[in-house]
Amino acid sequence: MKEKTYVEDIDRSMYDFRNEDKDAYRLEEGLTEEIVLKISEEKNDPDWVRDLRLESLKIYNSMGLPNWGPSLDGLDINHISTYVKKNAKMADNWEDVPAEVKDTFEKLGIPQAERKSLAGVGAQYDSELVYHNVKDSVAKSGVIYTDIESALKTEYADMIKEHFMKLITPSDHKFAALHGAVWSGGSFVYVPKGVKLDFPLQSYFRLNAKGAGQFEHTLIIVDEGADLHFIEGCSAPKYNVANLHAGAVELFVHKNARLRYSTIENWSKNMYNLNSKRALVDEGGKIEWITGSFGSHLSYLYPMSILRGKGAKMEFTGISFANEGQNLDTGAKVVQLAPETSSVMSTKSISKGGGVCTFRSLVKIGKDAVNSKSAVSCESLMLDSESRSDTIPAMDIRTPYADIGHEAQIGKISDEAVFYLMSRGLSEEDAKTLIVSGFADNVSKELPLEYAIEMNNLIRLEMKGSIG
Amino acid sequence: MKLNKLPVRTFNHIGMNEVNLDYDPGTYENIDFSENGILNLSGHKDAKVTIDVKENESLSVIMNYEAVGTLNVNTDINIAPRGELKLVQIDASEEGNRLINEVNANVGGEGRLNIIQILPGRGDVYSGATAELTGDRSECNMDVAYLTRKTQITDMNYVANHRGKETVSDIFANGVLKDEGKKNFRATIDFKTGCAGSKGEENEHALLLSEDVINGSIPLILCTEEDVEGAHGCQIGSLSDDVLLYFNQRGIDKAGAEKMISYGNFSRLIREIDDDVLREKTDKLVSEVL
Repeated sequence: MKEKTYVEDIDRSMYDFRNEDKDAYRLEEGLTEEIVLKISEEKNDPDWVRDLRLESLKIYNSMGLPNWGPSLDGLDINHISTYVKKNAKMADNWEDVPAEVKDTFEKLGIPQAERKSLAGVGAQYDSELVYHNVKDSVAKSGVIYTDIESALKTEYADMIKEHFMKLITPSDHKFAALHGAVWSGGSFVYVPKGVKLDFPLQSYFRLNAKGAGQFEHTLIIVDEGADLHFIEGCSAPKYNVANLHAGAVELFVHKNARLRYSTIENWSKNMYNLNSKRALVDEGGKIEWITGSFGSHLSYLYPMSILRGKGAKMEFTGISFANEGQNLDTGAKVVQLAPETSSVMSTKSISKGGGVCTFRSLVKIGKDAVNSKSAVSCESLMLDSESRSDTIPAMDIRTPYADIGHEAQIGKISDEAVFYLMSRGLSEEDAKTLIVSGFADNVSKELPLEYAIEMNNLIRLEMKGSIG
Repeated sequence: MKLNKLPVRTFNHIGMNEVNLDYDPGTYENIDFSENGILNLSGHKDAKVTIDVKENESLSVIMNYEAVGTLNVNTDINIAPRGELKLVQIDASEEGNRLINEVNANVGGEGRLNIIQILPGRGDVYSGATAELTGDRSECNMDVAYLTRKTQITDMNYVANHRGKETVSDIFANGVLKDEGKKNFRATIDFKTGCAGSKGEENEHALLLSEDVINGSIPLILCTEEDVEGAHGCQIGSLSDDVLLYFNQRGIDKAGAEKMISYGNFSRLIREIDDDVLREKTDKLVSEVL
């Protein structure tokens, strides 16, 4: 019998540290009208937001769980606290952030990243933003980057009302309705006409509380001819009970504007990540999604792009890495409604140690999308036979004047490639890690250097102990 | 009745998980056809056909469908080790009738199944085939040519379940949509645990010739085995300018080019009909509808 290599537990201490819930205000577990009203009161909502919450709750209660995708049996909303607030006000000075929270984000490298390479940073701890700041030069250009609750009390209130939960509506699915009922925190970004930011903005979401949910809402409007790179990071310590993330991201990309939305998702492996993301792109505009999914116990995540303006473009580049105990059901959707639109999806997935990766997509080309193009490519790598990898792409094409291509491949690491690297002195584990890093290269090369390094570190962590 | 179910469900709003058909089958007529030859299915309603291929035996069977109203045929195939079956299914139904065609096959070690379906589009067609590649080194090939025109529906579902070691599957659909035709093509290669060394490939070419067609495609690859190779490719659209120019330089206009390419899809499979009379009849039928 083949002797198995002893495998050490993966050291995730960089992400798995946790703080006690002391000094935190926490609503009781479950979802009732009373709880929703308490959240609304706590946040001092305008009437229309409170009404939207109550309407969303009704929709949530009327909808069933999806009958496709991974099982959600382990998730019980009656054991989730939908609102947990650290006893701290949002600060725009890093020194004013409570020491314990500051320490959390210091460990994750957020302030260093801000100093080095970001135009602005938002940091959310459990249900509320604890820090938000933009560089002066960015603020002077008219860019607004703040939390939604604050923006609702400014001259941008009408703009938010006009866009908030209009792309992702509560009736889209059960967890969009849940989000509408209990959302809290997140970011509002407005980039004025013609403003091009040289450095990215970043929001980082940390869910520290045990048995809690995070429901942040990100609303970004990139006005005509403007350009923005927005980075979203997320992590949480691991607990032995389910945590839930049901955020929503609504992106409006106006005429000839460009938005790159990058995500490195590294939730802990007790997290149900049921996030919704959607972009609406006008004429000549472009949305670029860069997504790395490494964490979560279970994910349903399919960023959707609606290309409604002539010549609008979408690019989706993604990688998923599922290890033991993980079921990552990810992919993308694109709906092309106007002439000369184009979409490119390029995804990679890696399954290891019993992990399950599913690539699920939809390309819908409407009748008016003449001279449009779509290309989908997905590659899956299986590192053992305990794991699972599925590819489920759907296409709905309603014009003959479109050029649609799709290709998918599944396979294992080539023995020849491993042998080649080992003959040059690498161990088998290092050889496989190098090959997997190369496999993920299409995503890492699209990320700013600091994040590409983090992604490669995550791959190295996940690959540790892959030989056995 | 529910038909053509995807082995794994996906987004409900796209309506591709299965077909719900307003048809209740009556009593099935059992037909055993484990021999070389032509099985004509005209004047039938609901039929269960059984084809057994013995060890080391090689059979060639043609099923010729002529639906009157709805013709519902379920075919169960069992191929013993090293057996081989070439099954050609032709929908020769008159205009406006409906065909429900379902094939379930089990292929033993080193056995081979070759299913060819010719669906020239004179009525709605619901066609599917599932091959269980249970024996080591068993193979299946599913090759389909279809035309969907007027307001017809062509709804397909092909599944290759790789269970034995070093099994091979190849699913290929080549079709044309015209007028207000609606087509769904589902194809699944499922690499089950233990099918080490297996390979599967699915390909689709769909030529769309009208602004009112609806083309649905959902090619799945499911995998729980490390040592496999699976691939999928598809091309959907109209004829490219380069192709049209090529034909134009040879004096053939756009309509002629489209007809010629559409015919080419079928003629490749018509050549596989091992009966001169039926081959000629099918060729004539295809030429007429094109």
